[in-house]
Amino acid sequence: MFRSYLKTTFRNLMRNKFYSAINVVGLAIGIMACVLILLYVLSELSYDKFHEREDRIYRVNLFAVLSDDNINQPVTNPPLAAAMQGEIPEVEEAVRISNFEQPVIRHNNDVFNETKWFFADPGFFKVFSASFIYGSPENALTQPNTVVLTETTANRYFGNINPVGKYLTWENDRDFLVTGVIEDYPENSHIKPDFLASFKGSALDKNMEWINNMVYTYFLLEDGYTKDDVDAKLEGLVTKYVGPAVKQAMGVSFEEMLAQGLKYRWYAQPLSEIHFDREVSSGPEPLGNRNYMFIFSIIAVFILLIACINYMNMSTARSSNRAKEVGIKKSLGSNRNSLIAQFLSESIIITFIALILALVFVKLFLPVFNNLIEKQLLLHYFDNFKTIPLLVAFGIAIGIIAGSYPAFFLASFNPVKVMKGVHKSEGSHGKLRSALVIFQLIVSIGLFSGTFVISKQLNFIQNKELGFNKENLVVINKADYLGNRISSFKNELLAQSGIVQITNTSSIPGRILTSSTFYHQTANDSRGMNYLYTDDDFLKTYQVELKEGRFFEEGNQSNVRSVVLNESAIKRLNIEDPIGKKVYEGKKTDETAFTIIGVVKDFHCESLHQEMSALVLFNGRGQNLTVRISGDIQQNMKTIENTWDKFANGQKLDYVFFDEDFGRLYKAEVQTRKIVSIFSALAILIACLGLLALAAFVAEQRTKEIGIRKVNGATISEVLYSLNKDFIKWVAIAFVIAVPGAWYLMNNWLENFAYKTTLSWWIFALAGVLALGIALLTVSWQSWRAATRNPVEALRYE
Amino acid sequence: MIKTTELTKVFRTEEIETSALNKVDLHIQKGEFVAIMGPSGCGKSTLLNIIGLLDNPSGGQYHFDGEEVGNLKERNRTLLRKGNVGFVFQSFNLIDELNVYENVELPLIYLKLKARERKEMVEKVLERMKIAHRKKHFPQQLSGGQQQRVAIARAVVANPKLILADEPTGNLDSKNGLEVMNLLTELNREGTTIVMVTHSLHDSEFAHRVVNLFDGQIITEEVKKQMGEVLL
Ligand SMILES: Nc1ncnc2c1ncn2[C@@H]1O[C@H](COP(=O)(O)OP(=O)(O)O)[C@@H](O)[C@H]1O
Ligand SMILES: [Mg+2]
Repeated sequence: MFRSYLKTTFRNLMRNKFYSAINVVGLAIGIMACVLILLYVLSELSYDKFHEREDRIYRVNLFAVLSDDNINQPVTNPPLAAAMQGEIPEVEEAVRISNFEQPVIRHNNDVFNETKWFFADPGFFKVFSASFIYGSPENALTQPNTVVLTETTANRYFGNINPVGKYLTWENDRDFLVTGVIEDYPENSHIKPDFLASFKGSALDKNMEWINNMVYTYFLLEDGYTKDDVDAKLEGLVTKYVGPAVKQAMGVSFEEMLAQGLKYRWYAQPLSEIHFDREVSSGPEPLGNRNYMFIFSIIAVFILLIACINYMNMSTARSSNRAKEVGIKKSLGSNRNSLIAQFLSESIIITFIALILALVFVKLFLPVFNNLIEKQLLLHYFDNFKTIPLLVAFGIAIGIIAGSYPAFFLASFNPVKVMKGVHKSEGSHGKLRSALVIFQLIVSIGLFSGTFVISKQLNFIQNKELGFNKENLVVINKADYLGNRISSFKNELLAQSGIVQITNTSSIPGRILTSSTFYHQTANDSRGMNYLYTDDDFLKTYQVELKEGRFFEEGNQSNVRSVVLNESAIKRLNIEDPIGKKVYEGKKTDETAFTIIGVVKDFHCESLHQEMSALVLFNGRGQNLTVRISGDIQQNMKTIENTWDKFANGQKLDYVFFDEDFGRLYKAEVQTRKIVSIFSALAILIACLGLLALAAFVAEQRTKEIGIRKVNGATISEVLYSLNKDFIKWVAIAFVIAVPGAWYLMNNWLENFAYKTTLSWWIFALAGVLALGIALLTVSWQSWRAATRNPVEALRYE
Repeated sequence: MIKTTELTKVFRTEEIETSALNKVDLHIQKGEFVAIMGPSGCGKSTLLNIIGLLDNPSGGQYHFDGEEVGNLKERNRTLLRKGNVGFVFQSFNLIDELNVYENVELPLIYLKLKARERKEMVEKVLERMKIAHRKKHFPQQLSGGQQQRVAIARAVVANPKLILADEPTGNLDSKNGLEVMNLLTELNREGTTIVMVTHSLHDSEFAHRVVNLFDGQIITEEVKKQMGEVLL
């Protein structure tokens, strides 16, 4: 039975090569798009699932309300883990992880700036899983100054040999013994270390500050308990340890502060929730976005539907070609069900051909796709025993979705009418066909609008005046290494051509800023605000405008007790005539008083997702040097590097271009734009394949009519119009339906930004015109051929 | 009105070259009723299509109303044909999706006439062809004779100078055939030039002149009656 189906299917495919190719290729592209998106979504949804004890792993987060600031962060203090382990019996193992150092690591002549160096307590491998290639999890991190490398990292320094027992040099001054090599952590891990070094002997190991939050704390819950058991006991630890520490630091008792509205709470967050919980600020890796995953999945389904619709439309449209076959089979005694079975297996067979082609496409395009979304998604067809059956089920499902309607439609033909040739293929399913095409166009126009809005918003935020000049800035990280040589380095560098200005700051716009609470002299309640330490040249280098007063001046003794605020900070503290007024940091004492010497115009220190932040500038030093350059970039980089090398005792220059660093704030959006635009292009491509086939079919079907019209005086353009009219109408209907939906969704999306572009009408008009243009172009290819045909030919064969 | 000199038409397909017309000299005067006869495949339809400006000749000259039109572009042929030439085919060639009224209206639409004018002209011609009561019907709902009357109505609705009929009675029984011939004769009496391809000797009796075609060439012409006689 199946063999005979197979045979008829292939015969039919070969008989109509044009339509078959469109069907198969369209389906294949659709499936490819779907598989790519699915891989991405599945990878996101399976974050951290690979850990064996995944369901028992938790991270301790801190929720706090301080003055008017809410904090919900994954960073806690160093002594917490040990206290949990010792005092909460439900905690089987608690470990600290810290990745706030970005050391320069050397081995022989290899020197690298490392960004994924993690310190971890020895219990790390009791909580998290890792596959050891060399060494063993039990004693890999028990000794100070030991480190476990991932496979890729080990290869980078040592090549293919077993590096256990060898040493790496950390920042010129410490040697780390390699005690193990583990397999790389997969893409979908929220911790992706290159190095895991023993916490023992690190600067933070013995730190006992209970209000100094700078490490991640994870724990393994004992079997049979819930996180609530731990949460309750964590409350006790806050009172026991944080309370006294607060009193010591602030001079006010913890109870009093609680009474004033302070909140301070530790809570356990399940590992499986870490990647998507956007309430909590991000840990070592950027957070995922569940909404995007939802949207991408819908796009995938839509693209697949578009491809299925092509199949449905083509098979019903061309049904008259099959009508005779149905008629004969029926009159020979075939019943409806066996015909349905035949047509369904036909569509399933075609889907499988498309599926195989799609898997080839996926293999080819996955690297490109990975590159675009900056992920390392993998598809191993044979690695997972579930993959193949899943794909088979997927193929059958698509085959049934695409094939049921045509199967029922074809099988319902009346044999008598069909044999007489009375069968007419138009009518009610002609309407269904238009509806399906309109659906395809709605999706395409919607996706176009989405792409345009995202692009417009990205353009908007990338070109928005930030209040400073972000071009031509080079940022040197870890400049604090220069210590006291920093000013002589500055002076020597400034003396060279191409170097315009240099400033030394504690951080730079776009990176995490430190915050504290501030009081205005006349107010008793405080405000949480960001602050930054800068030297005297900050304004000149970043080209921030001074609004009133003055900025820090070289050699001015009062600098130390002076602050400069931005306009928002003045507003936030509600200060009139700010120059000369006092603000207090942390608490209201003489030691914490600063005099306002100047006010700068607002400038954006954070991404434009956020409102303009209030900022306080102190005079001081920090780890970043920002250099304003002019002229040839490579020449300037050489200058900077050479000068650095003179001062840095072999320490490697670690630099970034400011605009690239700042651009990372919109990485998620840039990625989304890429994904949405690629898949909208694919959607329209598949829809166009369908339109092409449909137009060819319509032109073929209307050959005689066109001939008659031409004989009666229709010009080519009139015929073209009458052929394209329906398609234009479809685009128009699709446009009308798509725009409100797209407008609503994109309006919602823009809510993610404090600064948003306008949803101009022309975005949607452009999407509509583009869809119309592409559809017309596709359709006209066929229409033109039909319209220019000699009518004599069309009417000759009767 | 129609003057062809050494008109030839060659069809080239991938493998073969068919010479459908071979140096045809034909002269047809305004108001004439000419029948073209000949065996199947001798080039009658091809000649008619060229006369009707549906196709270009491969060689020779063709003067329509004194104007050389043998090398016109399709666009200009369409312009010249519109309103000047009406066609009637053996297989009627009505558009199935349009009703009687809409089928007849077709040439007027392409002449860009106003809806009111069109309505007037269509109603008039439908009356005349005695098919007005069927104007909402679709071609498939009509008999062959009725369909051909619709086709003739469409051919004459724009008052063309020339009507070309390719075996107009070929698919009709003798009663309906006679009716069609009477209609054509009537139109001719009113001054319309008619060129008709036919197999039927009986039908050819209605014409002033019969042109016999064989293998793409005119072999004989016989005058049946003088134009004047008919006009009386
Ligand atoms: N479009 C065409 N392509 C190729 N050959 C054609 C075409 N039209 C007509 N012919 C050939 O030209 C010859 C004359 O055809 P036609 O004028 O239709 O004959 P008639 O109408 O007298 O039966 C025939 O041999 C026919 O096969
Ligand atoms: Mg013929």
